[in-house]
Amino acid sequence: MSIVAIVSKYADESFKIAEFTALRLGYRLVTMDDLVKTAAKDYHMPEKDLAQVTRDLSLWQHLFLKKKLKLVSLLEHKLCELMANDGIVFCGYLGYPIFKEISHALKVLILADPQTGKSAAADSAMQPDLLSNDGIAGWFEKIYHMDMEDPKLYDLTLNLWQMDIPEAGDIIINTLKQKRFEPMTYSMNCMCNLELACQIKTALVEKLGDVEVKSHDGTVYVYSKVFKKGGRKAAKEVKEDIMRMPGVNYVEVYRERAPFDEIHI
Amino acid sequence: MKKPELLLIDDEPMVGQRLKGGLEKLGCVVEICEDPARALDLIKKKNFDIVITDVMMPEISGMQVLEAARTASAETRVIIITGFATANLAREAMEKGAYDMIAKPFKPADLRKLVVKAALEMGYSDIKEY
Repeated sequence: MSIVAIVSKYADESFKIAEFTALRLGYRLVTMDDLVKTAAKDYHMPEKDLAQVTRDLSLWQHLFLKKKLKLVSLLEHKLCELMANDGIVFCGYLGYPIFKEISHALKVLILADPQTGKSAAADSAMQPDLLSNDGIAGWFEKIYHMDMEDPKLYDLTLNLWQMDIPEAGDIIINTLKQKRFEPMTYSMNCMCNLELACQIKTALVEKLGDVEVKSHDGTVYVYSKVFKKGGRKAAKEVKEDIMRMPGVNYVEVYRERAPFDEIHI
Repeated sequence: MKKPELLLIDDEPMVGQRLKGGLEKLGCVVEICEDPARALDLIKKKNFDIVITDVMMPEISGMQVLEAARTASAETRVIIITGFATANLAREAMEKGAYDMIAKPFKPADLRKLVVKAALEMGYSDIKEY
């Protein structure tokens, strides 16, 4: 089954579209709240901590950065797990780097009239810490260093100024019928690789900070500036730590995203 | 008993050498081709049931092979194998009618599973994974 990722800073509208689409496709609907709740339960962590890292932009100034990156990484790992199980419609602003790697994930951006478009915060007096529309876009930029509303990031951009919610849902469903969004061996393997990479990143991020992890069929590639000159000891330790993890056959470490620029230990 | 006819195209000779025996053991008649231009001629002359092709080859790409194979016979199952797999390439392959795509390096058993699946779908009931 394919995957639909609906990204928007207009929480209310995007939720309605996601709900409509999931119901029509018979897919599971996963919201940011669902993701946080599932991750908190499965990782035995306080829900509040996980929720805060997705909601409160001001936290980025107070909490230790590595800790925050770890929590985001944990949520992305959980998202990978959820995607592997069944067809899902995900509605939220987390996980873009995962979706962009999966060919059977349809990435949809929802735009709305800023005057009428409601943020999650506008809806809930019970949760005053929820992000505003611009807060969501700011969060996305801080984490992924990209403009959330850049149409180039998506397969489909739907503007709610020009259509209603059922019409938007129908367009998503019809687009998903295209052969290019069908799962295949490569894209299913990609999901397994991404799940392992997220798991390893979660384990490393608190130690290394800014780290990128890729994996292919049990071979793991770790990219971090920590491995720059003088980082041989760190690289050796990282390799040893990762090799102990299930599903890992081999580890390569790089100081930056240049595949042939390896530090040999 | 009729066996599925399979054409494997990869400009790297090692790939064909490594995979041929395993595919024959499944019950396929396997032809290996290292020259994609020659592969296009073969495809025009003969309807293969399954075509397995690399993408990055000199002069003719695997995508051209895919299009030629699908034009020659809409029944042909084309499996793409590539060391340069990306989500965009996967989508392009699916759009052009690929049966499946698998990233290199892969385990020969993973490719054999795909071949068995494709052959069974085409009615070759005697083929099976060993």
